[in-house]
Formats: sequence, C-alpha cells, structure tokens
Amino acid sequence: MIEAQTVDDEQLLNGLLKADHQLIAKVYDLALPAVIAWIKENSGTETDARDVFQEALIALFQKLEKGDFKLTCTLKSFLRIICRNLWLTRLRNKGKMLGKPLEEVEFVQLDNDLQDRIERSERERLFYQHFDALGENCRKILQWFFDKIPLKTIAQRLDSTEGYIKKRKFLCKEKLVKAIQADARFNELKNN
Amino acid sequence: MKEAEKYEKIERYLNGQMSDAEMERFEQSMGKDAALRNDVQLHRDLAQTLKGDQVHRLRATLKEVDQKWTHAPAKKEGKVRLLRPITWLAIAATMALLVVSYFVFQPARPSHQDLFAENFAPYPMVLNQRSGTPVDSILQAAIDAYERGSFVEATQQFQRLQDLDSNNFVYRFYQGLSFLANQEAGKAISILIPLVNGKSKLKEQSQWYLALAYLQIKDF
Repeated sequence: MIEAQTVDDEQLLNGLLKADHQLIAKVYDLALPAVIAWIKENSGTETDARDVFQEALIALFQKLEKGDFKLTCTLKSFLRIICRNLWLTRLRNKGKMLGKPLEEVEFVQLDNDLQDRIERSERERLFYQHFDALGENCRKILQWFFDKIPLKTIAQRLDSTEGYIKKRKFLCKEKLVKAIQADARFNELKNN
Repeated sequence: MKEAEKYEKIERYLNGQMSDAEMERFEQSMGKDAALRNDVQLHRDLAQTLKGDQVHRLRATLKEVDQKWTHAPAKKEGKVRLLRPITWLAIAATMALLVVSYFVFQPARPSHQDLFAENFAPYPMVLNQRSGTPVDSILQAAIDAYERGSFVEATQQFQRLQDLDSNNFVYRFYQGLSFLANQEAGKAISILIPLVNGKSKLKEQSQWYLALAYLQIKDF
C-alpha cells in the first residue's frame, strides 16, 4: 500500500509504479526543474540532472515494488533528496570536488534500503547502458533468462531450438560482460 | 576453464543447482581466484539488476517522457537570494503608491485584505538541510510544511528550530512569514520588527513583509 501526504502525491506514486506515461510526465513537471537548477549549481549539466532524475525514479520504483511504502514528506522534496544524494555519490565516485565544502551541501540520510540503491545506482546505470546496446533478441533472451524462464520456454517464444538459445544466451551474456569489464567506469566503481 | 563452461558453473552456483560437494569445490576455487570471485559477483549483480519486466517497461516510459519534456527556466535553490535594496525600495514605493491611489482615486475601493492578497506571496524557501546534525529532520519538516502551505505547522517547526538555534535569523524570518500567511499579522510584526531594525541579510525582505503585515491589520 502506498501512502503519501497528499492524494496527488499518492496518485503520482501509483503512476510511477504502473509506468503511467501521463503521470510520470507530471512527476517531471513537479520535481525536475528544481533538480536541474541544483545540479547545474553543483558542477553538473542539465543532461546530468535528467540522468540522475531517471535513476531516482527507478530507485523509488524499486522501493515501491517491494511493498508498503509511506512518504512522510512531499514527493517533490523526496525526489530532490534522492537526486542530491545520487549526484553527490556520483561526484564522489569520480573523485570530483564541488566548489564548496561538502558540509554546506545537503546529504540527507535516507532509509538504508534506498541508500543502498543509491550506492548501487552508478553500477546499475553502467549495466543498463551496455544492456541497451545489445540487439533486441539478445536483450529478450537475457531478460527472460534472468527472470528464470526455462530455456525451452524462451526457445518456444522465439520460435527456435533449446540448443540454439543456450548458445545464443552464452554469446549475448559474454558480449555484455566483456563490454562492462572493458568500461573504465566499471573499474573505477570497483575500486570505490 | 573454457569461458562457456565457466559461465555455466557460475550460473549453476548462483541458482543453487550444484550439489553440496560441487559447491564446496567451487567456493574453494573462488577463495583462491580473485578474478573468479569478481566474475561471480558481476554475474550476480547483472541478474539482480536486469531481471523483471516491470523495470524495463518503466525505463522505456522514462525515456519517452524525458525525450518530450521541456521546461521553463527553473528557480535557483540553495542560496539566499538577495534582491538589491533598490528593488525592495521600488516595490515598497509601488505599494505606497497603490495605497495613495486608493485614497486619491478610489476607483473600486479595494479592501486592505484585497491589497494584502494582491501583494503577498511567501518568500521562496532558501534553507537547506546540513548533513550530520540533529536538526535535519525538524528542518525538513519545516521546509515541507512551508512549501506545501501548512503555515500553522510551519510556525511550530520553525519555533522548534529556534529553540535549538536561537541566533538563526533565517528561522525567525520564515516563522514570521508563516504567521503572516496564516493571517496572524500581530505575531508576524513582533518577529519582523527586530529583523528590520537589525543588520541581517534579510533586512530589506523583512521591511517588505512588515509593510504587508501592517496592511493586514489595517494599521497605517
């Protein structure tokens, strides 16, 4: 069950959970301008802000998926906090400094679960980027495989044989793994 | 170990499909081989991140929304924005002119409340939380209450903040504005007068809201 301070925020959270295009656009209108302004003031660009905002929505979605959720501040404030923590984590991972002492910048503690997701977000962003670069069939095979769909079923869905799908699955995964391991950001994140 | 064979072993290990003996041997191998350990961790993380149809559907929707979204220039946050004193004086002069016009021209005789309502807007929130202080949760509650227009709660939260930090003139300023927004001009005036008479960075802003407070109680 999702609870928020206002009916509007509850509606937007439910919209996020259902990937509702219209309601997510309202979330963008509600919260993204302030995030863009803050990130631009803190060594970032609008593109960075949009990336971070998407990561924040995904992290929040994953939290909502887990079960009961109660929002104790406005959704706008909550997203602002998640985005700020994400951005500061990203800067820290890059070894970048802000133009002012970190003590003067927000780094509000979120619950452990959400904070863990934020810490993992940079790695997940890397995974998604390389996953998106795979061909459509590769993405389908791997996603179903990770969802523990049997290879036989995947073969039926793709009108193929189990032996062929097993080989394709290995090749697709190898391509993904090698692309990630070759990415300089992966090694930077491993060392943090 | 050939790559395909390695992948299959890792997957069987992560899916709990190994016998106890096989698992023990594999874990011993991981203990001696850092590269294998890292591979297992990566495979585990990939499975965790990329599983689930819902998150992929969300990502596709976010991409579509993001591509279409445009915005008006955002307000700056995180700084105390001080208008130049001349701007505040100009605003105060304009307001004085409005009041004079009311007496001289009296076209539609707006009430004090009408004038107040036309000219009052809560000053943008410029406070930020600071990391690692006990005041964080109270400050967040105060900011949220102020921003959503729950001014009664905002006055209470700003009072709690002042109890913890009596020297913080910004807390007093926002408490004063919250009283004013809640139609409690008397309480707002008692807070704003010291700010006007002092040397704080919000002196000019306090002058403006003090003028509005007097307008609210029709004391001019």
